[in-house]
Amino acid sequence: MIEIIGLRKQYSNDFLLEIEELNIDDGERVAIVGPNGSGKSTLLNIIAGVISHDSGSINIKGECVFLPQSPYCFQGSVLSNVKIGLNGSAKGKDARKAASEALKKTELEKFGRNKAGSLSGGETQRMMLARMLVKKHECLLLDEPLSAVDIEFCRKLERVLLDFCAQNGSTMLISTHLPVQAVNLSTKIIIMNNGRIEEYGNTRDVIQHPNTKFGKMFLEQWRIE
Amino acid sequence: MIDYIKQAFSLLLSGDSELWQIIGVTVRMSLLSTLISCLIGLPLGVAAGRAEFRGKGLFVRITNTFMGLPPVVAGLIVFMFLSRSGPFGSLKLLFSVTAMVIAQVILITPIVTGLSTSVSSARAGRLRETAVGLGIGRLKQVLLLLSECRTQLISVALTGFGRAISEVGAVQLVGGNVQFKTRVMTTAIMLETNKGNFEFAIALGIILLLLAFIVISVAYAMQEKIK
Repeated sequence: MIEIIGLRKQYSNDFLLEIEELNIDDGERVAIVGPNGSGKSTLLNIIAGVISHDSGSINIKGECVFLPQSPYCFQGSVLSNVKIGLNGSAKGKDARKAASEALKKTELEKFGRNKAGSLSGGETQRMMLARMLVKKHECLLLDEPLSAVDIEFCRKLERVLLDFCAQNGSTMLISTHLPVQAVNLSTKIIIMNNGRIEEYGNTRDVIQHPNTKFGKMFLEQWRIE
Repeated sequence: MIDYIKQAFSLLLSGDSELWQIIGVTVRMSLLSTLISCLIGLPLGVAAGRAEFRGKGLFVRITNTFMGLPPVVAGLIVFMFLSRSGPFGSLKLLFSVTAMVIAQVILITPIVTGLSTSVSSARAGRLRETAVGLGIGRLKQVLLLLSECRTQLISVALTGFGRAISEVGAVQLVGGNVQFKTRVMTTAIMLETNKGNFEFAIALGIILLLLAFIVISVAYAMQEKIK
């Protein structure tokens, strides 16, 4: 469960993130959408503890992992990169096995011994996803995790994410700029604008009946796209 | 030039005790001062590169300023501190290899600190974001950063060594170029040049280059091994 109350983060460039209240239940899958600079990444970074906030409270039940928009690719092999995601929870053969299985999920098993730096942009994102899915997590925070992946793999990886959440009862908060992805992955959707939540509700309800002027305008743009 | 190289090698092979003593002091002083500077500068630089704190810009500017500290000034400061009337005069360190190492450490530490700050800060932000996201603790984050920057940090240490082995002003001032005690390759070259012994000075220069080449080759091999 993620509970946010009175969250505020002010940047020197006048951008203000302000979330009065946000409750995300266990096992919920929430898509965060909105135009560039609306605060999607900032919100995820604050929940993950990467960026500090000025005021307000964030209560998270369980352990959260966060996949930033441009995650760091460690030197060494693809397999060793994925093993870092285990964070010491498994060692030796067990670690190798877990990492190999995670790579299999993202269809990168044949690249295990390759240098991580030799992968293409899309393959690197799949490796980052494998690094995150290498062990069970109660909560996943994903910042545009599939932006460089081609459409075919996007659908496959969406399935992988859905299976992971179903098997582990994980909560997922994912920011995306792809309407189809938001619909495919989420049970609830947040539409953000200028650092505020404009709409929050069941994905289908919000998409069919947006309550705010901005929500209607934003979804209209989505339909055109 | 070939004659000079021949002379350099015949000097080396002649078993001249003074020459080998000079080589010994040069290597000992350069390695020791580089080691001490790295022990201070690398952790400090990596910590500064990783951390976001008020005054970081000022820290970087001061470090960068000291990177260009004239050797003679560093030597003069150490000389004043270690001279008989200075605050540490009673230690009787002036005109010793220790004094030369102190002067070298003052010169090299800002270089090692400044360069390692720059090397680590280039990676620290994204690495921290990713590591925090994966729930990796602070100590492991630092170890990961050190591991990621290892080849560049070896280059930083080599830059420090390069400065140490080629330095003349500070070591001349605080070492005094005492025969069989504090004479190093650079001060010996200066002395031989002043005496008009150009062939011998050039031969010494070639040996100095050879020494640097050997140390750098060893470090390069290490770099390749850990890549």
